[in-house]
Amino acid sequence: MIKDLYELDLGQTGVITTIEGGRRHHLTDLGLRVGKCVTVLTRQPFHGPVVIQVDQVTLSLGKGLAHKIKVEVA
Amino acid sequence: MKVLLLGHPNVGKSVIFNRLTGADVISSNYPGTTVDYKKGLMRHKGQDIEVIDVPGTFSLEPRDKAEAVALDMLRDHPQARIICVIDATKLERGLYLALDLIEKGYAMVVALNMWDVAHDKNISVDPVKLGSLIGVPVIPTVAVSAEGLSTLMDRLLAVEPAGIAELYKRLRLAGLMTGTTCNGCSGCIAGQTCASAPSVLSSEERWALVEEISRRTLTIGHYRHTLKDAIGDYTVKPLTGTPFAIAILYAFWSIFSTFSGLMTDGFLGKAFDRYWLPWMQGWFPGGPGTWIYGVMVDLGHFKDGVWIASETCLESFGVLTSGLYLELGVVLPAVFAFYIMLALLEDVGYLPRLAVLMDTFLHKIGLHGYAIVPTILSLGCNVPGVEATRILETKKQRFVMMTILAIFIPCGAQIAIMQDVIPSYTGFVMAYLFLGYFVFGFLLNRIIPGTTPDIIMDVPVYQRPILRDVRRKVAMRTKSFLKDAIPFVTLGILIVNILYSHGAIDALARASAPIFEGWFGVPRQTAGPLVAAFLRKDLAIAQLSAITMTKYQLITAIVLVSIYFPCIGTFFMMLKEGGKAFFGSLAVLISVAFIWVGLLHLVWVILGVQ
Amino acid sequence: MVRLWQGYFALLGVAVLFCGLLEFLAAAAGHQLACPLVVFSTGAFRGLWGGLVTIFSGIFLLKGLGDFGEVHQLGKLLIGCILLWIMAGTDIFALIAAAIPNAQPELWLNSLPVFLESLAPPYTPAITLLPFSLPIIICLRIFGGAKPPADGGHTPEDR
Repeated sequence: MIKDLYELDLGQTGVITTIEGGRRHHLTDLGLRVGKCVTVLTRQPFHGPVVIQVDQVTLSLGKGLAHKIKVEVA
Repeated sequence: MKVLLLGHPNVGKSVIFNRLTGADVISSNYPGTTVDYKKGLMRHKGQDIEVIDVPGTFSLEPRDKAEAVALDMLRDHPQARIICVIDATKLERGLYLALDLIEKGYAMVVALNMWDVAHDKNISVDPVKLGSLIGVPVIPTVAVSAEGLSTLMDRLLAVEPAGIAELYKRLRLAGLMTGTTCNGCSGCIAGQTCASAPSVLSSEERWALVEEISRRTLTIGHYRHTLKDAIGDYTVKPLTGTPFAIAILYAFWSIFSTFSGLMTDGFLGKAFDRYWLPWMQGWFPGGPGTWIYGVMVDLGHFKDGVWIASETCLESFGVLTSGLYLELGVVLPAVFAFYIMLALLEDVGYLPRLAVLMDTFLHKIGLHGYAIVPTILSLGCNVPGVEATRILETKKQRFVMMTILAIFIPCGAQIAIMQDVIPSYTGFVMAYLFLGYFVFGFLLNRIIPGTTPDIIMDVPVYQRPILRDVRRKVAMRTKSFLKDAIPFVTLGILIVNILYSHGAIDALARASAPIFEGWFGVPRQTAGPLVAAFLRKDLAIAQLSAITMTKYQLITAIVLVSIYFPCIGTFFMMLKEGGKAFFGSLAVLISVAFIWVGLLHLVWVILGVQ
Repeated sequence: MVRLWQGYFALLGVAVLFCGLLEFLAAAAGHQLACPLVVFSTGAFRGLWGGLVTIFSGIFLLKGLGDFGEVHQLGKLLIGCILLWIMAGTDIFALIAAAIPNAQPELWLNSLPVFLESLAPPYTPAITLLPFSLPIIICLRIFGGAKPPADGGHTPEDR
């Protein structure tokens, strides 16, 4: 099933299928690319950012960006 | 020989720099920008080497001013050798940057740093195999204990630029890459595919390579979550991270005020008032009542027509008494304590977590979590705070940040003086200023066109701070603070004293009386300190305390001094960083001062205290 | 063994929470609370803000008791203790800082007896409770890293 990264449950893991939007390259440089396994560590309240883990990299992404990343959940 | 230290942020680049270089480190601005970098000298095997710590960058396609400088420095030193620092636990993304550098033909070595952390996490990389694949030496290092750094320098001295042709040849030999058909160059094998491919790799191709290389050199074993990971998670989760953040801020403020209280009230105040002031009053040429004595040592005051000498340095207003006391006796201990704690928080790696927690709120005012860094820096001194706005991506963000920083964030010097002259109202003044920060941030975000991009931030793992590096950082910052503060304070007191003695300030006070007394509800004499505030806010607040007024008027006057105009250092930094936008900022600033201070006056009137 | 530890930290957590609440409420009401053993600060900053941090500390200690010894639970206990150490540390620093300079204008330092006298009890609740939080160090030795989490891998979300 394909989901928004933002919609993943806390602790849930998915595989990135697409990254939309103009800041794809920036995300790629940080280690977030299509085909990578991503886990949601936490989500801040009031439409705040999510904190995710890809390999050993911990990243924080704003809500809008997280919506643009689609993941495949087993 | 020149060596550039290059790598992602938070990979231990600065730690390596500190281990390599000696005490003579110069921190300077990159020409034409306010992005600073560090330069130091070292000797290795009889060679004098200049090491340059380049600002951290995620790629060679810059996204903010700091990254742009990293790229410029690389272009300006084509002959320099490069140490590309990679976090061994985050091999892939580091490797991507390294490949990009190799393709561009630099003579370089790769430092596979945080080797110990990788070991703890059961991650192993084969440095020899990796080195032979990419054609540059790869040396595992542990920067904190200087492990591997000597080998790193040995290899760096011997290294030759590999270049794109060599890289492609090696990769192709390893079966990692298929090239385009050869058009007759020298580096090819059997004329099938070309080693010196005509163009650089596309981003996708390079990532594919990175993945292939890491598949052959990286093994990740089973890994259990440790206590450090658990703490790392809890301090970024909202429910557990917020109480923790509150505790950290409590500790910050508590230690700051205890330390500055101990130094100022316990020792330095006594030293200046009981020894320095009488001593100066005793020997200074001219004697009481003369012009030079008044300006330099003691202005004194008249009571029933008799000149009375001042008893404390705060009252005397001499360049050599008040000036030195303010900077060395009050502000220096406060700024020192502030910088120690800031350096600790930075080196432990707590600030990015605070940024994540604050992002929710800062996003509402058009900024994002990382705006917490310029904000906290500004609480020390507004100048580096404004300088740090370069980490924000868009013009709009930089404008909003710079404007509300310069208006609403009181600097450490100012806070220290407030603690000294109005200890019981400092909290109220600060709260009123922070409220303004959010209110006007929110409004500016609505009014100013432009976008606020979402936060993208790397959250590093916690690290044990190295005391020697903390000490070095604090020493450098304190030194640069003193270098800025003392001339300005001296000049400020000098100018204000001269203006006073020529009646200029009285004239100004008379002329602007309707504004001061009608709109702001403060005595017209406030005009004098406002002139001084342009040079130093701390000085202005000290001068305010000498004017007779009610406590509510004093609070209003202090708020006015805080927000009416940036001090001269901040003024020039804003001009440099903001360019044309600065004038917009100035317009906002002046109107905000009228509104926000007028509002406070209104509150007092409504409460019936004024 | 685990039961014993659990009981111990439950008691500590309740004590810390109680002190924090008392401190916070006393400061909010502006009452001066004191008994031979413990002294509560009345300052708005130390009382309200500090009381809040002490309350958080107690909550963390109590929340870390379930599945005792598992690394994430241990993390909560440790954060609880760190918050208490922050409070105690800043209180001790303030206590020492107040004891060093002489109140007389013509003298610099307090004499040793006066210095020691000003360090004497009663202390703030955080300092009083500090020694009782130190067994966490032994606890970390015993449980820290020894017991793998249930799934052996990444963060299970546990609130």
